[in-house]
Amino acid sequence: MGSSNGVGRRSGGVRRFFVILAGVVVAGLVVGLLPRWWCGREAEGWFEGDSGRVRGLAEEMVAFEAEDDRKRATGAGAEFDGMWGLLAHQMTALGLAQVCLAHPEWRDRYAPIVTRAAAKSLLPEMRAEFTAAWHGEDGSADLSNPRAHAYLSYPALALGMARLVDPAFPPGLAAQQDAIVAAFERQLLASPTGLLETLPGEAYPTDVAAVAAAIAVHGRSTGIDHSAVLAHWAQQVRAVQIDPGTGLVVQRMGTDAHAHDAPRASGTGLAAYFAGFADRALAGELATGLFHQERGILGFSAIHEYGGGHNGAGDIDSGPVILGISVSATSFALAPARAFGHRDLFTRLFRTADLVGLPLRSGARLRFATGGVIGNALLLAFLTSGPELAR
Amino acid sequence: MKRPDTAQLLAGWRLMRIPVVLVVLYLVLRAILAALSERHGFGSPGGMGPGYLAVAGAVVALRVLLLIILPAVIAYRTAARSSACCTESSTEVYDGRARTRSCRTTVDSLLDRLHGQLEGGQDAYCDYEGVVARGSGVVVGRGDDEDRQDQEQKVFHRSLPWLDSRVRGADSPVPQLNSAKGSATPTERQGLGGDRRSRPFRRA
Repeated sequence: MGSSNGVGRRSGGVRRFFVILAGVVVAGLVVGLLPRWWCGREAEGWFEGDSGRVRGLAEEMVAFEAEDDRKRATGAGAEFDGMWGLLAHQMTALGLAQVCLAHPEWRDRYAPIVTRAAAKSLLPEMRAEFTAAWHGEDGSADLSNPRAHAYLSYPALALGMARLVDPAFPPGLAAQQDAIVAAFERQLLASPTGLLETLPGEAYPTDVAAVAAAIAVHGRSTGIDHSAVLAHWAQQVRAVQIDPGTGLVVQRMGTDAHAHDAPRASGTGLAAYFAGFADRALAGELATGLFHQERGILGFSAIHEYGGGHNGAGDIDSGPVILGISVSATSFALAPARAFGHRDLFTRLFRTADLVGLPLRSGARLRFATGGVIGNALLLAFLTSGPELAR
Repeated sequence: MKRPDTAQLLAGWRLMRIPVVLVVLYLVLRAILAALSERHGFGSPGGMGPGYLAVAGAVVALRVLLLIILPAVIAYRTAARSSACCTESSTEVYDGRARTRSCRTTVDSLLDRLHGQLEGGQDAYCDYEGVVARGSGVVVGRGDDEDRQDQEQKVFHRSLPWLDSRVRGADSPVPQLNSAKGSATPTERQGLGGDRRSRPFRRA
C-alpha cells in the first residue's frame, strides 16, 4: 500500500507542476499581449496620420500659443521664455507646419499660428542663456561675425517652415531669416569639419544638423540653390561627426572635430530628424545607427542612450537616463521611425510613449499629461514627421 | 429565479477586490491629473510642481501595475484554478475563504485521505474543512462533526466516482472514511496543528 501512497503523492506533484505551468503560461500570454494591445491601440492611427488624433494634439498646441499670446498682450508674462521657450515655440511651429503639409485643408487655420510661434522663437529673451554664455554677445546682433552661433538655427528653421506654409509670411521676418541663413551658409562653408559652435568652444552636431535644415528649408521656400553647402555638411558629418563603431553622432565636439563627449542616441535622434529636412539619405543613415540602440520588452521599445563601449549619466539633452534608457532619445526616434516607414518600430516606441505619457483627451484637444508643453510640442513634431523630408 | 450564493459572491469579491480598488484609485488619480493639467496652463514648468509630478508618477505606476502585473497575477490564479478543477473534470470546488488553491488542495486532500484510510494510519487525516457534495460538484465549507462521515461518503461517491472505482476495485466495499480503527477524533485531528487547512499528508 505504500506504493499506492507514493503514486498518489507523485500524481499530486505532477498535477501541481502542470497547474503551475498552466498558470505561468497563461500569465505570460496575458502579459505578452494585453499591455502591448492596450498601449498600441492608437499607434496605427498616428502612423497613418489619422486626422482626429493629429488635430487633437495640434489644437492643444494652438491653445498653448493662444494662451501665450494672451499673457504677452496683457503684460502678464509669457508661458515660457529662455531655452525651453525657444524649443517649445520652435517645435510647435515645426509640428503645425508638418500638419499643414500633410493636411493642406487645415492650412488656413494653422499657418498663421506657425508664423506666430516661429516669430516668438526668434525673440531675444528666448536665447538669453546663450547670450549669457557668450558673455553678452547676441548671435543675431552681428551676423557678419565669423564665429557662428548655431543655436540660431532653431528659430531659423521654424521661420523657414512658416515661410513655406504661410502665404502671408511677413516680409520683415523673411528678411531676418534670409540674413541668418546667409550667415550660416558662409560660416558652414568656411568650416573644414562642418561644425559650428553653439557655445564658446562647443559644437553640437545636432545643432549643426538644424543649421543644415534651416538652409535647406530656406532653399525650398525661396528657390535659392544651397546644394553646395549642404553637400559639404553631409560629407563632414559622415567623415568626422559619426562614430564609425556605433553609427551615432558624437554629442559634443570642438570645431576641430575633437570629441568632447560620447556618441549618444539623444543627439543622433534629433540630428536624424533635422537632417531629414536637408538630406534624406544622411537622415536614413543616422536613423539606422539610432535604431540599433533600440531595447525592447513585451512589445515596448525604448532607446539606449550610449553607444557600445560608452556609458554615462543623463543630462539636459537626453533627459533622465534610467537603466541606460533615454527618455528624449526614445521620443526622438519616433520621427525617423515614422518618416522612413518603420511601422513596427514606430508602434513599439509609441506603446512606450503611451504608457508613460498618459494621453488625455479634453474635448477636441489631446495632450500627453506627463510631457508638459515641451513634450507635447516635441511629440506633435515627431508623430507627424514625414512631410518635411527632403526629396 | 435562483438566489445568488452569498458565499460565492464573497469569494468572487475577494478575488476581484484588489483589482477593483486599484482601478478605482487609478481613475480617481487620472481625473485629478487631468484637472491639474488643465489648471496649470499646458504643463508650464511652474505648474509642474511636486504635487503634479507626484500624481503623474502615481498614475504611471498604477498604469504599469494594472496593465502588466495585475493581469499576470489574475491570469495565473485563474489558470491555476481552472486547470486544477479541470483535472477533476466535473469537480467544482468552492471555499468560503476563496483561496485559489482550494481546488488543488481539496482534490489532493481527498486523495491523501483516501490513501491514509486504506492504510489505516492514524495521521491519515490531512485536510478537513467540511466537504459537502452538491450537484455535480464539491463544495467545501465547515460542517458539523456529526455530519462529516455522511458528507465525506457523499463526496466520495458523487464527486470522484473514478477515484472510488480505482481504489475499491470492482468488488471491494466502499471504504469508510474516518472509520478506520483508531482513527483520530475531531479533537485529535485539530490537534494535528494550529491551521487545519491544506495540511500536508502525514503518516505515522
